[in-house]
Amino acid sequence: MIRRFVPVVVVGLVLTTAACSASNPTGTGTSNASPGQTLTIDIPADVEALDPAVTMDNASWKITYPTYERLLGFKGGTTDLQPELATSWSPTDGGKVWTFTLAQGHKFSDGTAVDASAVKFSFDRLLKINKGPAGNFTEIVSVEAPSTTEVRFTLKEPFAAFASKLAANYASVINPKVMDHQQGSDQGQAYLADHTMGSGPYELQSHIKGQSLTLVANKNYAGAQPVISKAVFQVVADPSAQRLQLEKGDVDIAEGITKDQIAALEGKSGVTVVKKPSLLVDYLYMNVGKGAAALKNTQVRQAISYAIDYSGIIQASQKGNAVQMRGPIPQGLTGHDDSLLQYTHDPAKAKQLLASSGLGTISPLTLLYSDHEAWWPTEALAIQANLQQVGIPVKLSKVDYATERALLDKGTFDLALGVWSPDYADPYMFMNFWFDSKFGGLAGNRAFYSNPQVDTLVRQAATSTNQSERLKLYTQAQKIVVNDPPYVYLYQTEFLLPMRSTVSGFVYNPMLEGIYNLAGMKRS
Amino acid sequence: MLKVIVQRLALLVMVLFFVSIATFLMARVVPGDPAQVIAGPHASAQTVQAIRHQLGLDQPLPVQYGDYVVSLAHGDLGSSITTQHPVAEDLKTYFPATLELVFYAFVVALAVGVPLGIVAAVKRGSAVDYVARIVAIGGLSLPTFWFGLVLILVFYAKFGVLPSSGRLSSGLPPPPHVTGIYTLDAALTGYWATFLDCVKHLILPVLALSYVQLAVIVRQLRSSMMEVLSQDFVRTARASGLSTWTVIMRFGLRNALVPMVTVVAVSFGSLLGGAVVTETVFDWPGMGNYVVHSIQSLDFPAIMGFTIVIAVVYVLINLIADLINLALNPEVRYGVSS
Repeated sequence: MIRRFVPVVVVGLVLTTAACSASNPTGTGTSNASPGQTLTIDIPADVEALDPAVTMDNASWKITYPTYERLLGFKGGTTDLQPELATSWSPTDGGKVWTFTLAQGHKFSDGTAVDASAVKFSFDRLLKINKGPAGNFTEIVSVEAPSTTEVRFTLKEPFAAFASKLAANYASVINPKVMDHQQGSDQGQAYLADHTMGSGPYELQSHIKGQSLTLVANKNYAGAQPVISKAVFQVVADPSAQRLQLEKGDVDIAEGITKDQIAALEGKSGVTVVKKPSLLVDYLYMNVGKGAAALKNTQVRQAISYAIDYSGIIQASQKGNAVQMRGPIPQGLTGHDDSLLQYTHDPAKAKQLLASSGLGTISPLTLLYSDHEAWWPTEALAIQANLQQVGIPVKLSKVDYATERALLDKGTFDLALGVWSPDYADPYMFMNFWFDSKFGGLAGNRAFYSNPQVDTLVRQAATSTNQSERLKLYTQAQKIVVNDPPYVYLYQTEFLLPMRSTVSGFVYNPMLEGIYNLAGMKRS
Repeated sequence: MLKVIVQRLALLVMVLFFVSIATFLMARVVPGDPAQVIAGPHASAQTVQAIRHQLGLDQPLPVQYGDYVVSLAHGDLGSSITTQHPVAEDLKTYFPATLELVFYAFVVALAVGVPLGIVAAVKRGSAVDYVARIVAIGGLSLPTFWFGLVLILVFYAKFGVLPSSGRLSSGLPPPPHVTGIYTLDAALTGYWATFLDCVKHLILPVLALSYVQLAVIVRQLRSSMMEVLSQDFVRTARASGLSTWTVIMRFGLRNALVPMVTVVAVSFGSLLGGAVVTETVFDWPGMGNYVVHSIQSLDFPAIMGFTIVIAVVYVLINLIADLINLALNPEVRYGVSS
């Protein structure tokens, strides 16, 4: 028996010795040492296609946003616009034509100059591909490049919020040489699914499917070379594993840690938790237009708004990491008005309003929701309890997400839970989509609310190019829809991001949630 | 034997036909619109309809299925809605990772489980037998995700000797591609540092995944061996003066392996399709992760492509198991009934 095992032991010793001196062929197979710093970020899932003209996935944007530039950008942590590829811009013809003057000296990662024809190409391609991102630019009639430094957009009708769309990921300017990689007539989609061809401070070095994505500094970037010369995004699906790696210092930032585990991280040495109000809002639709007759009564809807225990719901659904809304425009977005009425939890007042509505006993209202957001089942139960306390019976109706969306579009519900986040930084995203009667259904006005005065105000605000006039119009409209509420304005969530305390320079922008300003960050 | 192979390949075509219809219908019938997922929550109805048209989802179901079968006949599994790549290419990327994990898990399960099962059967009632049975019960009872997390807590968090996730250390590129199985590719191309790094990353997920298989093997083999060792022919072999080793290995194990082969083959096949829990806990970028993501994204082509491939794998693995049974069991080979 012993004789059989001696060769095994010898082989084992030889292998162990070889392993201790293991190396890869010289100059290859080892990680490239970059002169700058490396930042490692855990992400909970691999990204989908990286083509800015295709992807609607925020997870992909965190890779593409730093690798492309757009005509406009956001100023720091605000939703104010600033020049990026464009040095100046102006609307003419009442806001139907937008002309942008381009800066000189910007280059794509392969050294090709960024000019007006590249901008025209990018938008023509976006509209030709006609996937999700194109849905944000349906107002564009044509894009022209009358010179190498001038781009002109002609719209179907005046649209004041047009400029704010140009800072979003899908307005990224792509190197026209992507067409060299076209397969069939795909406009280079298959190639850009896994590559980047932008002029941003970074470029994609590698994407190991299911494992990691690595960005490295773009040597042809027009701005200063960043301190972080390499950013590695590792796919780590398990929140507990992410937490362990962050605590041990093996990663700098961990995105996928759940809220209950983040609470345990706060106060841990070496870990900082960034906490900022997000523009993602959670709200309750009250189907004014097609729901129960009782919901047509303003006092009933006001009563519902007073019946809700906002802080209780925030605690139950978000572990306290949310801020009650004050009006429809969340904090952090232009147009938010701190002077508006904020409903409080006042069951007595709710009962009083119901009594004065003259409707007597209210028939049960259905509350529609799904598992689309993990907290919705908890929230639905809480709302049911709150409303029953004031005498409004509620029947819960839980369906799958796809069915929910179908019912919302048809208006076959009384109450429903919803979330909303803006695609671009303009009050239009809330005020027009939520309240303009022409957007009834899934498009945005899920309460099927119709108020001619509000329609006039928000439509005027949509076309006026005078920003202060727009804000006045939106403020007037907000006052109306708070006092005659088609929605219960529940809360806006908080953005939470745990990171090592050695990371500095991160600036949270509510329009760029989950996207890192890598060029401005560093590790100490 | 040739007749068996031909029969099974004919069966494969039938299985693929029914599997493709069933998967196609189920994927279309469940609520959910991939066009809506691609378009995003704020998209207009026109945008969603345009995407539906691009994907061919506005065609009648028989037309959609017909188009799919024609593509399949040409080896085209379609393009993934989420990755924009051919599904075949995606599967080629993710399959080797799962194969690597499952293969090593099985090697460990067999290397530990077979000797343990034999000793447990031979030394029935002894301390070794009790240990083997406790180990087996543990493997069958403890959830894989829990066991995996405990391994991470002990070997990564507490002692820091092994990594917690992934196939390679951050920043280390994969070895030059030969098969997609990193350990094999690294060994074939001489990337020994990468090989070592791969092995370190394999240890914990292999232990977690192998434990369940090990438990199955120990229990099954112990039970089979005990039954075989109690047979008259084994008593006769012992009485005729053959060594204990010869009796156990040639007479006992060889006969006890026959029922084991089918069990192990089916387990191997099911793991190839669904080591999801282990892959999730250890962030192993394999087929399990790919198909879960595809289901969440309603990526019909990816879901169907995965199902077709797994159906083929299952039938082929069962064919191999039957051929091994034929080789091991003369009764099956000559059609002799007991």
